[in-house]
Amino acid sequence: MIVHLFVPCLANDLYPAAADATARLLARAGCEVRYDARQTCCGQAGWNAGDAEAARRAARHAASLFPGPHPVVGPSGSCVAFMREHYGELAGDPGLAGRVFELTEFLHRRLGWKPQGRLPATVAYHPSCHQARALPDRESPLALLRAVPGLRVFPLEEECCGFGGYFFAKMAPVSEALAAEKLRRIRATGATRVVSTDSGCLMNLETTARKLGIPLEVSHVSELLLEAAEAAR
Amino acid sequence: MSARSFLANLRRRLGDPTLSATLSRSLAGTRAKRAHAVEAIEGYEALRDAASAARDLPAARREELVDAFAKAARAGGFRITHAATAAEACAAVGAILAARGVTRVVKGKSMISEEIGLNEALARGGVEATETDLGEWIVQLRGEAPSHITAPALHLNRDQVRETFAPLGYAGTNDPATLAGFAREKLRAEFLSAGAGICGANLALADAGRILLVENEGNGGLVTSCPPVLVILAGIDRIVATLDQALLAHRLLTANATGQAVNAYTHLLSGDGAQERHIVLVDNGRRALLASPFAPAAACIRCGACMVACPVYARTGGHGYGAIYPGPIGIAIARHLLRPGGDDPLPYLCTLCGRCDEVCPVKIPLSRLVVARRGETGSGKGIHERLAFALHARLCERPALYHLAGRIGRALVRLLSSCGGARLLARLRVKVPPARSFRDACGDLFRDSSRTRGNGGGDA
Repeated sequence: MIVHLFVPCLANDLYPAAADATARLLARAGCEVRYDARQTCCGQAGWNAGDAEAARRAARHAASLFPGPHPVVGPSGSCVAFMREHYGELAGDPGLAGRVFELTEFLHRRLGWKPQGRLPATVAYHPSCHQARALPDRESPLALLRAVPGLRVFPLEEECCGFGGYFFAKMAPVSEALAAEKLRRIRATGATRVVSTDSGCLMNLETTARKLGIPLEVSHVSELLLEAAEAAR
Repeated sequence: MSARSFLANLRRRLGDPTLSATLSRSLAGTRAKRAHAVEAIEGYEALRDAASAARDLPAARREELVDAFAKAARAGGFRITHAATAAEACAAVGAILAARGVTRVVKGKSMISEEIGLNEALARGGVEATETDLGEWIVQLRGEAPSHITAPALHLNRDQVRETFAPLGYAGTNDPATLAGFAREKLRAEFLSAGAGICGANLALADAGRILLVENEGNGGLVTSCPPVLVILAGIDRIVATLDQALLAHRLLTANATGQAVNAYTHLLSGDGAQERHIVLVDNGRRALLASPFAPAAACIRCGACMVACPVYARTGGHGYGAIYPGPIGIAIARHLLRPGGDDPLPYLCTLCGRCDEVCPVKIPLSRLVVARRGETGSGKGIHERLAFALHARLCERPALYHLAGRIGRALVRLLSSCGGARLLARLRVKVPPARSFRDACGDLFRDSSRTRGNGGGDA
């Protein structure tokens, strides 16, 4: 199956390992992965800041890079949910909504893929708001993580980490307070590594932990699944 | 409010450990009670749909309801005054009180009276107003605004309540029942001596011309029966067509506001009887709201569930918003009902997590409305922010430039980090990016394998 690799802007610039793992996992699952390097931002950044025109420009450009009928798969519950909800109107591409998928959703629900390998580790899982409520898919990331032999997963309460796109910068003190609360919850699980399906959450938690001097490793769910699979060899 | 003072206020709230502890405790309790109450309602989703359909009416239909209600209420003995603005509404209440020589009033809980600044207006006219809802009375004694629309003193713990009562002669413990007993004692004298009662309206019934008032403390019953004159303030958005619709909204209201299957006292007030009863029907931006893209927000039944569910509200409390209506619904209606001056950063006090959309009993698309508020002029984005977003949008269409900018940005941050700026970056929560982006590093991935890279990189 041919699959377009969708690389969210935050993953591209700040968490390239998440995009890399996404491509490799899709390949392992038997997909022929196509990547168009002209991708920039899906448009959600502008949209959430109230700039519909900015969102339209970005969305039209992004949609033009994903010709049908192939599925579009990317490591972000948030961006994918945004594309599903708004690309019909913003990009004039109503068909895209039906073939754009978040990575774990695609692997678990579409392909019925099972994690390979083994990973003796303990992680906290942060369900991103848009993964859980906008996409919505609460099940897939946890189902895949729980199917990894050796991996202990502590799902965190479904509560915003305080990223919120432009909110992260515009309301920085509040964003930081929310992240600090999330870090307390993570610490309470005993895990020193947190995984999620959205780079925005990872960046918020990583930078806040760094500021507060809290040791924390952040990983995208895709990185963890790839780590397990590669450990199998 | 300027962005600077808005953030300064937020920092003050966030830095208050007592407030944090109080919010955590009381919101956890309210969330659990609400969830339990909602689960217990059979066919809850269908009720939400029905209530949403009944509340989300076109502006023309609303006008019909206003006329029908005014006519029926008048026929039932109410005296009706229409007020277009907050000032007109305050003046109307003032005139009613002046005509009867009233100088002391008791008030039931009413958010619209907070919205129009009634207590301050009455004070300027020499009328002393005493709040009788326990939470409202507490915040009034402290000179504060309510921090939640149904639980005004949600931001306070029992020790703070005891301290608030101490100047009035309270010498007891922080036991809630004892504190409430003291308040009851003090307020009883007010009920008996007041020249008029003032309250709000949860719903107004167009068919029956009656007002539905929901409360739990019994103060509403006293306010609406003890004094010889009663003035009810009702926003025109409170009007529903029928008793059935009112009861449906009432059911959703109690479950979502306080987590109750049924509240303690529900009054269905008519205009007949010994009391002189007035209704002031207030517009104050509601007609403009109804005619705007934000009209869905007029369906709100003021349960406050969106605030209780909101992760931001849970950290800042209601006072962090600097607006009488806090939380997601507050952001959605503020510009119409409260008309903040200048550049207002309020719409950005939201992470767009979507929890409010999930809990709103009448399905107001709150986070969509918050985003729409951000799109309005004067919504707190400075010129540099507008330019940055405009530039970003243009770069998005030009991949080569976009990624060149990314490369430069990454290099600069990495340079700063390695030249003594690491602590500054940490303080600003700037992530030090890896040397290469996925795009710049993935060449091998797509060359070495049999995977295709598509037509990528064309113009880069």
